[in-house]
Amino acid sequence: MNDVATNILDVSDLCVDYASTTSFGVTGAPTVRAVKGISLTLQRGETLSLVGESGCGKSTTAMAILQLTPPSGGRVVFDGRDITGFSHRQMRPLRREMQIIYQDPFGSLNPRMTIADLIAEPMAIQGVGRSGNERRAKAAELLDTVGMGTRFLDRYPHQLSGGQRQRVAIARALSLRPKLLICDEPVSALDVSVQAQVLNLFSDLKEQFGLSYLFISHDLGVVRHMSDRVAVMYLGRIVEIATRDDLYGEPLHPYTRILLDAVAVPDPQIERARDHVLLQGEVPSVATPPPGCPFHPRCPSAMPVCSREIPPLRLHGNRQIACHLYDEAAANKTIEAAMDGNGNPN
Amino acid sequence: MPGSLEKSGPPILDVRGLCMGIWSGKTELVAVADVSFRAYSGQVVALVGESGAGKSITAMSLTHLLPMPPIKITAGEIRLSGRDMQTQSPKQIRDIRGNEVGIVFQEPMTALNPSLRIWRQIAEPLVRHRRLSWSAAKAQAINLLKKVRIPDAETKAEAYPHQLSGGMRQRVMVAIAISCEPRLIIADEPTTALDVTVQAQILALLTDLTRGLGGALLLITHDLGVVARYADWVNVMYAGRIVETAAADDLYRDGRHPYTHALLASVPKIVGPIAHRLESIAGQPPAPSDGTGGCAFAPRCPRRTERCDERPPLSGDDRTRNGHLFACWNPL
Ligand SMILES: Nc1ncnc2c1ncn2[C@@H]1O[C@H](COP(=O)(O)OP(=O)(O)O)[C@@H](O)[C@H]1O
Ligand SMILES: Nc1ncnc2c1ncn2[C@@H]1O[C@H](COP(=O)(O)OP(=O)(O)O)[C@@H](O)[C@H]1O
Ligand code: SF4
Ligand code: SF4
Ligand SMILES: [Mg+2]
Ligand SMILES: [Mg+2]
Repeated sequence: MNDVATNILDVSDLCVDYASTTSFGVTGAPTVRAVKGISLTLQRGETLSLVGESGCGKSTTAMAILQLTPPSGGRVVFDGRDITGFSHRQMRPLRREMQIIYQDPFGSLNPRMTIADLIAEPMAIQGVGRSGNERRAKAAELLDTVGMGTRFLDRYPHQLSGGQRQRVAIARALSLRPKLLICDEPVSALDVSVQAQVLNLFSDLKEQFGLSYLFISHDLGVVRHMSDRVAVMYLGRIVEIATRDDLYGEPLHPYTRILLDAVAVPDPQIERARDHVLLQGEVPSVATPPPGCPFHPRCPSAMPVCSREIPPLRLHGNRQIACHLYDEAAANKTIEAAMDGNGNPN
Repeated sequence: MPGSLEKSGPPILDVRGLCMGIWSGKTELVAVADVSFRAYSGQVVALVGESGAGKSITAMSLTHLLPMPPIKITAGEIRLSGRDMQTQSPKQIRDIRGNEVGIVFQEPMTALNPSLRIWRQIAEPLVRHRRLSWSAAKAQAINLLKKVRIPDAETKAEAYPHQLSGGMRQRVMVAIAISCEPRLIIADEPTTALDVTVQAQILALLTDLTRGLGGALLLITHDLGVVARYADWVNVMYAGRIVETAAADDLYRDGRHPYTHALLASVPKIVGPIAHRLESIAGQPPAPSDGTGGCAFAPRCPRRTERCDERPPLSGDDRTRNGHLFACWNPL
């Protein structure tokens, strides 16, 4: 599992600190740890998703992997190379191989550039292609690949719909033939009919180009559709990481369960049959995390130990879980006591 | 959800043949055409559709909140508890808004006054519509904060909007909306900006409170899961028209319009089989046009035939029950 040669990405104990907003700019000011020791691996050709509610550290993790935000601890190994702490200069040749796509394609596309120039720009920067004409031809080819006609080449971003702009952002990211594509909420701004088109495009491109995806989304339906494996984050940590089928088939961490339970299924009959456990309260601030298990103030299965000790992420069968319910010693008894017959937390 | 298809008494909201135009500077485009729906006491009625379908302007038209110009009502009738809303004076409308009709929008930050303490904003409609003293209204505001399950209500009452989280602000909006025990609550994408666990809390609260008041909830959303969980009756909108309307169970089990089907098929779900590819709908939702021509879904529709150049009426057939209607020549 941790074989560096086969993994496109190996992240271990990644930590990211931000200056806390109250003392922003003050040297030696206290910091807020937004990402607290994340470890994950991404195999070649695999899609691993990060899910969790806003502020849990998904985007920060992505930025730290790309060295766009400096990690304050841990290690990022990309394609066998340790890139932790690489400068912009050192990262430059690697940018070809690891690209990111953001939620808001409008924000990431220069409004004064034509679609052709936008798609060709990364190639120009990286010195790919012998001439402007060659790059334009490549841009036309890429537009075709993402399902848009070449008639869009000389248009501007504001003349496109949200879905079309996201396709352009994808074409741009693909222009350098990356190995890894990090997608940060790539379909969250799109209508469902258009979202489905773009998700299908991601699936097609993965096969066509042998891509690996780190896929970030707050939408558990989208994540189920896209992923091989899923990591659930809460307050800067991974609380459960499992294969897609294990996680959705039988979520084990209390937070994963509640998260899935909160998602409304588009079927009234299923909805009526479901038991809704409403999660109490809101996500605490990363600046003032609760002691012990970060989830304990809201957890329906919390035990005395939960407010004292942080549960480490531990192997449990095929998956990893950070929860005292699955502690070796406590194991059988506590789990039985804390679950009802349906496997739901009491 | 303990829903209701019972029609106890006359409808609280009765919209008939509503048409709205947008002045584009050159011509008037059709934004909403021939929209009719009703909401009865105890019901959650949904308007569902993709962006630009006309959901928000339909909602805004009900209590005269439309930006006029460029948008205006060109035909139709809106009745609230029997009264014709178009013949009400601006003063009468102000008396109805916030009193008989509570409104919750997607973005609480734009609806709340940033420089007023929370309790003041909840107390304001009570003072205005119910003639309470400010001190009585403040006490009532704190009760309402408890009712929408804001912890530590006394302290939060003194806070300003920016000191609360998005979820808490939306609870405050719900408290304002229910303060005068309205007959109708209009909620336009009330939880779209919120995390899923908070979304579930707020929607449960809204539906429980509406039913508790014996009122009706008009729930506007693009989320078919939310509709399935909470709505009794569903209106699917496309390009300014209702293309299918039915009891929630009938719509999901036996939807007849190709757009309803395609929309349901394109949502990636957390249960059920996983297809390698999602069924997507080619193209994108249309912008308002001059309103002539046939079925607006035709350019994206896999069932299109020549007949679709003529606009299909909203009607039922032998198979449909309970007032289920759809606008399609070649229904599923
Ligand atoms: N540039 C920044 N400066 C300070 N704090 C930040 C910054 N970016 C993010 N944060 C904080 O870090 C935490 C994680 O944020 P983020 O990674 O954006 O979460 P997500 O993508 O899961 O919504 C949040 O509490 C957020 O407020
Ligand atoms: N203030 C406005 N000025 C001009 N056009 C508007 C305005 N508000 C909405 N529209 C147009 O009216 C149509 C319906 O919009 P809306 O009701 O907001 O749709 P929905 O809520 O279903 O997304 C859209 O084409 C939109 O562009
Ligand atoms: S460690 Fe305790 S509080 Fe945390 S998720 Fe597990 S049971 Fe709940
Ligand atoms: S009327 Fe024709 S084009 Fe319109 S939805 Fe029905 S089959 Fe499709
Ligand atoms: Mg983010
Ligand atoms: Mg709207």
